[in-house]
Amino acid sequence: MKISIKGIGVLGGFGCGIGDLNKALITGKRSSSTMVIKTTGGDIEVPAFLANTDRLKSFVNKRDLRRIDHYIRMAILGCFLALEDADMLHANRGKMGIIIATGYGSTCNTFDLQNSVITEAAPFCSPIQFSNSVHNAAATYISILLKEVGPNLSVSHYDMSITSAFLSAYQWLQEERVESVLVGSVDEYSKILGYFWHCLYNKGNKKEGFVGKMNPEHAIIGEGANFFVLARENETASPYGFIEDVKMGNFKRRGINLPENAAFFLGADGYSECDEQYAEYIPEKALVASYSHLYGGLPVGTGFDIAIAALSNKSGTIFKSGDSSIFNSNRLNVIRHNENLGSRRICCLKLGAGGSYGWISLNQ
Amino acid sequence: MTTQEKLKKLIVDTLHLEDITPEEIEDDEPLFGEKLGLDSIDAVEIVFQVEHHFGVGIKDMKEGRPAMQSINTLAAFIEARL
Amino acid sequence: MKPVAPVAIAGIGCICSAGLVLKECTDFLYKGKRNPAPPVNFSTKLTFPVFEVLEDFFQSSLFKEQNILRTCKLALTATLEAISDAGFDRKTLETKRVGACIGTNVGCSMHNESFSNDGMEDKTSFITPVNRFLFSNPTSSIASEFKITGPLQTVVNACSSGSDALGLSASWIRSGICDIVITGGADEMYQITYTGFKSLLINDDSPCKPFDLNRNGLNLGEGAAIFILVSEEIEKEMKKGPRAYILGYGSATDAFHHTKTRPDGKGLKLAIEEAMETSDTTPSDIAFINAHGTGTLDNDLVESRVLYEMFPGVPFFSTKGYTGHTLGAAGAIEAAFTITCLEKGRVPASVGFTTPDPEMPPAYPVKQNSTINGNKALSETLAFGGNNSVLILSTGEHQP
Repeated sequence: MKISIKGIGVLGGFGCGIGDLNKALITGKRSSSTMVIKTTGGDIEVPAFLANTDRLKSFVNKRDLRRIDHYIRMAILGCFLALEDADMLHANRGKMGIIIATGYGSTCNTFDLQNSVITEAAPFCSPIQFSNSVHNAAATYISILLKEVGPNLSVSHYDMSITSAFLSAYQWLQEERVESVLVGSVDEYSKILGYFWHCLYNKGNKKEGFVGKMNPEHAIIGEGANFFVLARENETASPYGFIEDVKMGNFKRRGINLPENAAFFLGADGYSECDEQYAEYIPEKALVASYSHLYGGLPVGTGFDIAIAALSNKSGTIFKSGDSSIFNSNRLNVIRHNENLGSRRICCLKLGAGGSYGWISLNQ
Repeated sequence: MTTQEKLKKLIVDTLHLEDITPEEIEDDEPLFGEKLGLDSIDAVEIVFQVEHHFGVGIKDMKEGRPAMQSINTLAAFIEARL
Repeated sequence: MKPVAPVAIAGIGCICSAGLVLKECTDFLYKGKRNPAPPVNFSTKLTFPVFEVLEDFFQSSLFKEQNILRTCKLALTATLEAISDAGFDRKTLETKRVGACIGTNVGCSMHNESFSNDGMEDKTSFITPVNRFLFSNPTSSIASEFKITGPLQTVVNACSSGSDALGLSASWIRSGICDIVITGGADEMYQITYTGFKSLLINDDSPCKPFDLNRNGLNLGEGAAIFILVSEEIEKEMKKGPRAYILGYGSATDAFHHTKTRPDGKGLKLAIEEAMETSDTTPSDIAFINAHGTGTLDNDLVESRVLYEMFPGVPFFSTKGYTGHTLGAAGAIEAAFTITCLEKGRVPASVGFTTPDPEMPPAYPVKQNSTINGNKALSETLAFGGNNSVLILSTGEHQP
């Protein structure tokens, strides 16, 4: 049974929509912002790729959005863009499942809430803020806006969040539990993350120094959403190709079984300690790339790699990678110019905390 | 500013009613009608905001429901307890 | 939905205010006592009663993982019990394809820390807690403690997380991607949820009264329940046979409101239908229903209407009056109780219920400890965000 990608909705530092991601792949253009964090010790500057949700207005009326924060808005917009791309916005969708992954959850709102509860003299908090901080709040708003009563799942497992979401989406379709699944992920920039980054990586941080080694082209805090409409393949094959397999495991304890004849889109995001591990596991001569220079460092970055893999299937092209020094290895065959995809499959691999790994392979 | 005016501003600001100004809310019209489009979570948000800004607690919805009929009833509830 | 194959549960572990192991918790249910009190895990000016685990339960000499959230300590304690209940040891887990899928709320949130980024550039006060937040949840703690090598998933479906984790893990076994899955739910008593529920005005200031006319909200609780699911091959190798089975699972969404239960119960009904279809069960097969029964006005009203319509005459009860609402752990803890009640052939009195609510249909929870017949039962959970999740469970060959 083939599970194909019917539509994609993405937003992030590269822009809004699959067209903008495609453009960024061709031109290498992205726009990072400088975030200023005020502290008693003076202002701190941190680079970040931010996502703009202005287009949400064309899908959802203003009143329905009044209680919804930026994090949830990104998720909703990602979903609507994916459904629009799949031409399923207004169609009778049949039984659809919704799965939303996040590495951090809605951090801005949650940190504010924690701060108010723990530091305020009065033990109260805003009920709207509290209910928005519950991890499945984004999935809830989406189910309400789409009027979808099917299975609805929220998962959060650091950098394995999106792979575990795809694993369940794949199983729901194989079990014929649903006819389609709207699956994707979202994460946001928050000043706490910015400050954390500053403590570990900012050259301007005179107190702690520049403790973590990183690649300045890639290691920029990213935010955004990536969503996919998946369905069992019917007569017409999708140009984006299909999901061949989803695997998770622990590379430190048992290594990784990787698919053959594959190009590898690696979830390296500029933080050297993790990025340098990839070279050990990738078969010799296989083509590899990292695209985090376009979307930044965020736990759910693999979702953008899946979108890029789908664009590669559609165009028959493997796009040139970001900075090849990111892997710190001469063994790897990093894609330096756009190349013909040929008959290769694409494997999106992420190595994560504690030795966990996840990969998702796509084929045409 | 009267208690009524403070309440209207508080409701518009904290419930993010972008398409309505405080002046457009009538003192005696139902708070939970079509016009404002408020629901049950807005009701508990108003309880929180009233406690936060006026120091007046509303114990539960049995007490809250009659108090939140309109701006006037809510203002009267608060003023009686200040 | 087509019927699916039952998935064997080899062992179960449970910890909550009612007891530190499953047997202790189950025995507690039949005693008709309870003693919720204001929280001691954190300081607060609020005095709403909760159900905390008051004992110093974490036997740190048994675990490698130490500097972890309380939620993870609860999960590890229940996992060790479940592994031993299954007759497995750490070695069994290291040699099989083992996955972990745990439901939680707090385990995926920042711990009781306040972060203001003013003048906190030193590592101990800022980076250490952020790191703990970023790299500590019950699934990871279990994976790292028991060196497991399979898929990991942390379900954050609010209050239905525990039941959803069980249902999703059953799929991992059926599809053959795992030999063993460690699954369930865990959540600790937490200042943010405690204050949050107060702000929603759904905390009862006295012991909660599910399904009663005078119900006035919920009491929060904490705990964990962990299940060891096994493949058919492993099931065959088990001398005493498995303890229980997951026969079916269903989940559906209200698509209505993020904190209010949908009045017509549509999501709950759809979830029940899916669970009944996948388990190939009819209402007459169901010995009893372990209801969600939080004690809030809306939840209990909708639930009683749906149960009256779909399961007329089938006994039901809520155990929230004994344990409090343990949020992400609730679905798992209640699935464990559902199995032990089937094993005993008895269900406990639904504590807190004395006076029927005339707004509810004439279907009332079990008033006294009662005998039941049959070996299949249904456990249901409803959640924030309109998630509804239903499990159909049965006893196995091995009954402790």
